[in-house]
Amino acid sequence: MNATSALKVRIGLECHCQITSLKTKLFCRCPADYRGKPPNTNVCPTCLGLPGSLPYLNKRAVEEAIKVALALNCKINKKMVFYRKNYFYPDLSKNFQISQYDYPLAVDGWVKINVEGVEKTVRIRRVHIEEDPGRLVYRGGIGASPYTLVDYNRMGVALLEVVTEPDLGSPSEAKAFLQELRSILEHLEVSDGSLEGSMRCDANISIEGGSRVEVKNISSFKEVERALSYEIIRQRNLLRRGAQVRRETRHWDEVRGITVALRVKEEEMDYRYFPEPDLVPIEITDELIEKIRAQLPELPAARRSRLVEQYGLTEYEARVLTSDKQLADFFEELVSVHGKPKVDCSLVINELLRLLNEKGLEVRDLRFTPLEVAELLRMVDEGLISWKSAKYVLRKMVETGEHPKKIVEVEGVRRIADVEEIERYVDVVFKRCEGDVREALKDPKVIHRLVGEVLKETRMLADPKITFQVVSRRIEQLKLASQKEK
Amino acid sequence: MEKSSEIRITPELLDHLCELAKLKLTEDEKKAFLRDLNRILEYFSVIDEIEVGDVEPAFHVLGLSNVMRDDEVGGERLAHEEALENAPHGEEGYIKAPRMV
Amino acid sequence: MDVLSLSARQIAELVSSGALCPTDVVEAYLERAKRLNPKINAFITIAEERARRSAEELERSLKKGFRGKLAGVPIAVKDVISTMGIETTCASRILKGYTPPYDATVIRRLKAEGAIIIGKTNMDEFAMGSSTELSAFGPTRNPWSLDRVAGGSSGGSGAAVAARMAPVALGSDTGGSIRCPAAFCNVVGLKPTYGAVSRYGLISYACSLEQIGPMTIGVEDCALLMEVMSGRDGFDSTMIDYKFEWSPSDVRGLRVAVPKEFFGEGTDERVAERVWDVIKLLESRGATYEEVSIPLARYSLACYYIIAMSEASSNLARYDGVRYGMSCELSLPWHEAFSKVRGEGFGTEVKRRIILGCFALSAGYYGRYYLKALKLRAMIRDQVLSVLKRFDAIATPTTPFPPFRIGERVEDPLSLYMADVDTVMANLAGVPAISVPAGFVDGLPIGAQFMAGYCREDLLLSIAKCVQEETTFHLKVPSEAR
Repeated sequence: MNATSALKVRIGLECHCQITSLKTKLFCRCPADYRGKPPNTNVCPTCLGLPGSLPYLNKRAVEEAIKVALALNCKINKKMVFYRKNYFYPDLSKNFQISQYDYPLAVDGWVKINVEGVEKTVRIRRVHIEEDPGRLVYRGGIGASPYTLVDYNRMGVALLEVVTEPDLGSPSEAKAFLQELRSILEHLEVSDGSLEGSMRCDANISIEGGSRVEVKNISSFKEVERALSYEIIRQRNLLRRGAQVRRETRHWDEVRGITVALRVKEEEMDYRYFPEPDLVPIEITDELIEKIRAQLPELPAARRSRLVEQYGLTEYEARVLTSDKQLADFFEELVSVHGKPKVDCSLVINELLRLLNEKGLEVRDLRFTPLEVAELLRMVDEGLISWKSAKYVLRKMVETGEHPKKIVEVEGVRRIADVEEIERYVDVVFKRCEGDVREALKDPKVIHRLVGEVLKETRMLADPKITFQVVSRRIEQLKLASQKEK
Repeated sequence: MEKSSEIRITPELLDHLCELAKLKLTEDEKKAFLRDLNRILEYFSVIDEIEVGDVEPAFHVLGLSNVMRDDEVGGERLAHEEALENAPHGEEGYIKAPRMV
Repeated sequence: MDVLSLSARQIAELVSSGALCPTDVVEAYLERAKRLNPKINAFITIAEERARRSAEELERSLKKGFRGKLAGVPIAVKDVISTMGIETTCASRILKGYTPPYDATVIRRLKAEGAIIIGKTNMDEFAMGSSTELSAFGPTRNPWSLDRVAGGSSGGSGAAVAARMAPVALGSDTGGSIRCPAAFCNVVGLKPTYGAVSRYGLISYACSLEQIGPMTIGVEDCALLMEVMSGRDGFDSTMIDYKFEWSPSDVRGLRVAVPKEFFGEGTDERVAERVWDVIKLLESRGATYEEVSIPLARYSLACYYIIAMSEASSNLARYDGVRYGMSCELSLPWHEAFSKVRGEGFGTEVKRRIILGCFALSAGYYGRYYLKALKLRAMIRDQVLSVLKRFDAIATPTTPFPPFRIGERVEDPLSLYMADVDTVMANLAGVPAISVPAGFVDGLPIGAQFMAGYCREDLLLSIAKCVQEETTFHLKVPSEAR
C-alpha cells in the first residue's frame, strides 16, 4: 500500500449561505430577490456604492443569523461589530466589503455528521454576517473576455459565513457536513439551498506533511466533493514524487475539473480590516437569544430521533429523509394520510427519491402531493394493482403530473382479480398450450407453467393466487371429465 | 518592537502601499512622497509618549449601539437609467469594467 | 430694501408674506455671484437655470398656500454634498461630470422648506485641506484680501457668505473645515454634535469625524438651518435621537473654561488677544471663566490625522472609473486601469492621505497606529467631557493664526495641518463647536471658538448671540463685496 494514501487529510470549509428568507438586502431596502431581473435594475445609491451613500442594518438578518448560530450550538457574542474588508474588485461597488472580523456573531459551535454509519463531530469555528458582492459576466470566459460586465443586483444581499475547523477528513465527510448544514438551514427556513448560488463554499485542504491549500470558486455544495477529490489527488501525487505542496490559493475550474493556481500576488492580500465607522456596534442580549431559541423549529437531529421513535424507522431511513427537509415533510404528510410508516418510507426513499435524482428535480417541483401518493398506495392495499405497477404509476405521476387513478385506467395496469376475467385468459392459454394441459393432468407441477403463461398473457396483471386457483380448478375439472369418459 | 519614531516608509513599502491603494505614482511623486510621508510619520510618533493600555476603542464616539431597521422594501430605489447614467461605459444594461486578466 | 443684506429668516418671512418675490431674490444673488465669482472663485457651479426654475415653482406653490421656513432663501452648498441633477465634484478631477441621481437628506429637507440651491461651492479636494487651495478648480480667494486664503476645506462656502453671494451656506467639518473658513471669512460657522445632522449624501472623507453644518452671517440663521436639517432620517445609522431647539438665553451664570494649551506657543499673540477680549466680554455680561488644562490636547492633531487618513483610504477606494466620474481605460487589465485613473484623477494631498491611511491600517501597523488612535480618541473624549461636567463651554481661538497668504503653506503639508490644531479636538470628542467673528488682525478676520456638551448647540448659539450683540464685527462687509 502506498505510504501517502495513509497520510491524514484535513479539510476545513468556509461556507457562504444567503439568508434567502429576507425581503430586503442586508444594508439597504432593495428587494433581496434579485434572480431573473435584468442587470442593474435592483439597485439604490447604497448598494451601487454612490458617493455619499450609507449602510443601514436589517434587523431581521441579525435574528435569522442568531437562529443559525443557535442551531450550530455556537456561543453567541454579546457585542457584534461590522468591519470593512478592503480590497479592489469590479464586483464590489465600494471596493470594500462590509463583513465581520474581531467581534463576529458567534464562535465555538459543533455539528454531528454521519458518514456510512460512523458518527463524527465537526467543530464550527465561527459564524458571521456579511454582504454579497455583485456578479461578473464575461464574453467567452474569464481569460478571453476583452472587458468585464458587471451587474450589481446581487450586491448587498445578506450572507452568513460558516467556518469549520479542519475536522473533515475526506470529501465524503465534507459532503455529509454540507448536506447537514443545508438541511439545518432549510429546517430553520433561513436559507433555501435549491436557489442557484445560494450556497457556496471555499475549502482549505492539507495532507499531513504538506502545506495548506485554499480552493476557491466552488459554486455549489454539489461541486465540493469533485473539487476536493481532485485536489487531494493532486497533492498526493506531489508528495509521492517527493515534491512540496506549496501554500497557495487555487481556483476550481468546474468545466475542466481541475484546480488552477492563482497569481502569486493575490495570496499576499492585506485586507486592512477596521471597524465600519458608518455602522454602530450591536449588543445582543440574553433576552433576545432566549426568545429566538424558544421559537426555533424542529432541527434535523431532533427530527431524526422523533422519526425513529414515532414511526419505528431505522436510523438510516431517518437520515435519508432528513437530508432534505422537503423529503421529510413529504413523508410525514404521506404517513398522516396513509398511516403505514414502513411502506410509506420505503416508497419515499427508495422510489420517489430515486426518480427525483434521476430527473434532477426537487420535491417542490413535483406536480402532485402526498394525498395522491396515498391514493396510489391504497390501490395497492386493496389489491387493485401490484407493487410493481405502483412503481410504474409513480414514475408516470412524476413525468406527467396526472392523478394515479387516471394513469391506472389509461395504462391499463389495473390488477386483474376478477375470476371471470381470468377464466377468459385461461381459456386462451389452454387452447394454445394443449400439450402442457395434457401433461398437467398427469403432473401437477406443470400447473405452475400454465399459471406463468396466463400471467404473461395478462402482462403480469393477473393476481397470481387467483390465477393459480383458477388453473388448478380447471385441471381438476378436466381430470374429472376424462375419468368419467373411461 | 520598534518605536513609532523609528518607523520609515521605504521605497519598497511605498510601492507595496501604492499597490494596495491602486495608485500609480510618477517617479517624481514617489521621491516627494518618501520625503513628505516620513516627515508626517515622524510627527505622528508623538502618540508614543502616551500609554493607552486597555482603554476601550471609540467605535462610535457617542457610544451609540443597536441602530437597525425593519425588513421592508422601500428606500431610494434607482431606476435602471439612473443607475447607469453616470457610468462611462455600459453594454446591454451591464456596467462595463476593464478585463480581468 | 437691499435684498443682499437680508438674513435668511427675513427673506423667508418676506417671501412667505408676499412682500418679496422669489425670482427677485434669486436674480439679485445670481447677479452678485456671477459678478464676483471670477475674482473670488467661491463657486465651482452656479446653478442659474435650475435656481430660476425653482423660484418660479415656488411662486406657484406659494399661491396655492405653501409655506416654508426657508421660502425663497438662496443657499450655497459645498460641492461635497450630493444635489440631484447638479454636478457634484468634491473639487476633484476624478468626479468631474458626476451628477448624483439623489439628494442628500439635508438638501431634501431644505428644499421641502422652500430653499433654493444657488450653486456648489469650492473646497479642498475631498475636504482634505485647511485653505481651499487644494482644489482642481483653483483656490478660493479671501474676500477680505484676495491674496489670502479663505480657509478650508469649506472655503468656497465661507467666501460666498462673506461676499454676500448667498445669505447662507452649507459646509462640512471633519477637523475644522467649517470653523476655519468661518473664522477666516468673518462669518459664523457651526459644527453640530456628531450624529445630529444626517450624513446621507455627504461624500465621505472621514465618516466618524464629520458633520454638515451651517455658515451664516447672523446666529439666528444658523439656528434656522439647524432646525430644518437636524434629526434622524432612517438612512444614516450613526445618528443620535436629537431634536434641535433654541431660544436665545442670557449668558449670565455661564461657566467658561479656557484651556491653556490653546493659547501657548504657536498661537499668534494678536489672535489670542482678540479671543480674550471676547471672553472678557462674556464676563461683562455675567459669565465666569477659569483657566484649565487639557493635557491630552497635545495628541489631538496626530490622533485626528491617523483616524481621518485611515478612514479616507477606505472611503476613497470606490473611485475607480467604472461606475461614475473620470473613466478608467478599458484597454488595460482592471488593476492597471484602476491604478492609472486614480493616479491621474486624485490630487497630491489626497494621494498622500490615502497612502498614509493604507499604511496606518496595514498588517503590522494597525495596532500601533489606527487602533491606538481609536483608544487615544476615547481618552481625549473623556477628558473633554470631564471638563464639560464642570463648565458649560470651552473657549479657544478657532485657528492659531490669521488667514495666511495663498501659496505660503501649501508646499509643506505639516504646516498646513497646523491650521487645524485648535479645531480637531471637537471632532474627536464629537462635541458641538462654533466659530464666531472675534475681530480683525491687520484687517484680516479671526474667530473665537466655543465648544459645549453633546446636544448643547443651544448654549453655543446663545454665546454667539451675546458676542454679536456686543460687537459689530459680523456686520462689516468686505470691500470686494461692495
